[in-house]
Amino acid sequence: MRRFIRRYIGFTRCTMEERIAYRKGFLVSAVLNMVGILVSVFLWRVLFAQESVIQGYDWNQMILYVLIVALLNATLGFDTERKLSKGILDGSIASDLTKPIDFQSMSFFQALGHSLVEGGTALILVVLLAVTLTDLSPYLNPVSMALFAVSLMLAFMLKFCLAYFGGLMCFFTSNGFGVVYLRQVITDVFSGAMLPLAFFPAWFQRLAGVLPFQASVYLPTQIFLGRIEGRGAVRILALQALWVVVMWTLSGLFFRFAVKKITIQGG
Amino acid sequence: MRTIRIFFQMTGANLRGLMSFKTDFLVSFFAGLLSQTIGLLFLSVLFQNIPAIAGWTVYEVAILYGYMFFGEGILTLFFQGTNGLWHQVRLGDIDRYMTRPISLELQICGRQTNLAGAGTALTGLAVMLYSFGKLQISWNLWKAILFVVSLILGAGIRVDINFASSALAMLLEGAGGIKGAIERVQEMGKYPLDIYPKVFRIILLTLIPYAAISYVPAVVLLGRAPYPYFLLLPAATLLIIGLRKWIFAKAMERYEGAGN
Repeated sequence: MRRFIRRYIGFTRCTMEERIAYRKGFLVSAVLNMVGILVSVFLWRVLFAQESVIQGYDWNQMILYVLIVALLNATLGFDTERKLSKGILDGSIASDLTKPIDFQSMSFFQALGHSLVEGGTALILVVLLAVTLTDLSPYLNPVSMALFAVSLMLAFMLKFCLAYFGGLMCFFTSNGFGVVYLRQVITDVFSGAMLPLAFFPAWFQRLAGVLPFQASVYLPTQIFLGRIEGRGAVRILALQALWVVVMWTLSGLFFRFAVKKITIQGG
Repeated sequence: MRTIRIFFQMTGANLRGLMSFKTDFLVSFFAGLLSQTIGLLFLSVLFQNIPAIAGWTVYEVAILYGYMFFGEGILTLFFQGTNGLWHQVRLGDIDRYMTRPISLELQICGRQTNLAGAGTALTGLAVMLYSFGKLQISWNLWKAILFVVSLILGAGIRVDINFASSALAMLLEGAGGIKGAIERVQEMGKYPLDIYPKVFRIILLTLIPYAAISYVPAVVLLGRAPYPYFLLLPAATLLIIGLRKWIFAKAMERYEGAGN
């Protein structure tokens, strides 16, 4: 295990250094996230001026929900995913395939490096906004914070698996953007990133409940907001872990099948 | 006149180029049609839980969405070349353009055509017409003229904002993020101006006039404001054209070539 990590951690360090080298990129993603969050904040401010609770969420909970989603999206978002599919589309995957390493693990550790940097910047912004906009005190007990931290990590791993799985679809089409976009729509809707699942009709909530996407966004938020506590929270962590294992294995199998279909475009 | 003719010749050439890849041509058109799915889903799910946003019902807000989609579509379809000016600088494209006897702006605008924009623009039109139907707006000749004018000026504003922010990024030497941030502000054009603090309202009507694209014509057509309010749209158009010209001139003044 230690040898495994020592071998792959280099990829993480590499992408981290790459991210940090372009320092302007930091500020940029912070500003970009900020604009997106601001629109939501203004919208919810008006809506909560009319009513104090919407579908069981009050102002505090809704803003925290929005911020957690923004944090998760910034940590592993569109960029990482596009990078994954790019390797397949532009053929640079060919040189990776010749190396004596597991492609999936390599991609994971690369994404990790990217996400540590992006997520770190986003975390500062999100905490600052949470402190100014909401009353955090009811949510800051050590037990639920610890559970939330574990849940976030599992969510990150699952998000990676889902993005990786989607990226592999590019083996079968040359229109990478379309695939990434379609997966983005499905993930956004079913994970609760677009709106809390409580806002959707009952049949949709049942459907979302049996799919993996909700475990990557919705479930962690429920732990942080204290809507699910104690045993229920532990059960959620177990469910998340289960989905990570299932999706990781499925991706591995799918990769072995897909790599036979590979057509590298050009030299 | 000559400018318009050359622009259409360039766009035509781009389209012929795109059409040589038939599947991709169709795929990008349909991708454009579907590109606003998330936004529309968000709107419809949200409104199943709330009655209105600051007094605006779902179809009224949908009209704002439609205006934004339409502008975005036209920008992507005909004027995608205004993206990534600093990138063109790095590639040395600008040097090449300067040696030709037609205007630099024209060459930048007509550089790229993307059929996905047609799908997006059509979605916008469809959303607007459907919503107008649902709202049972009483049309008259005046309103019809204003609607068409607002679509044209709105798309123009969208292009000018894009061009200006691209030139700004060029002026600041590759701070590409500033353009992305300004582009992201367009989300604000999708909701009634009333929900924003005063500073934002002023900015959205003047410096980054996304609200002039959607909100200004919508309030007039929906009968929420008197006709003269519409004048804010041409005023914002003139302002952003001036701003774009000024920023681009500044950027070209500082321009030193790609250096190869």
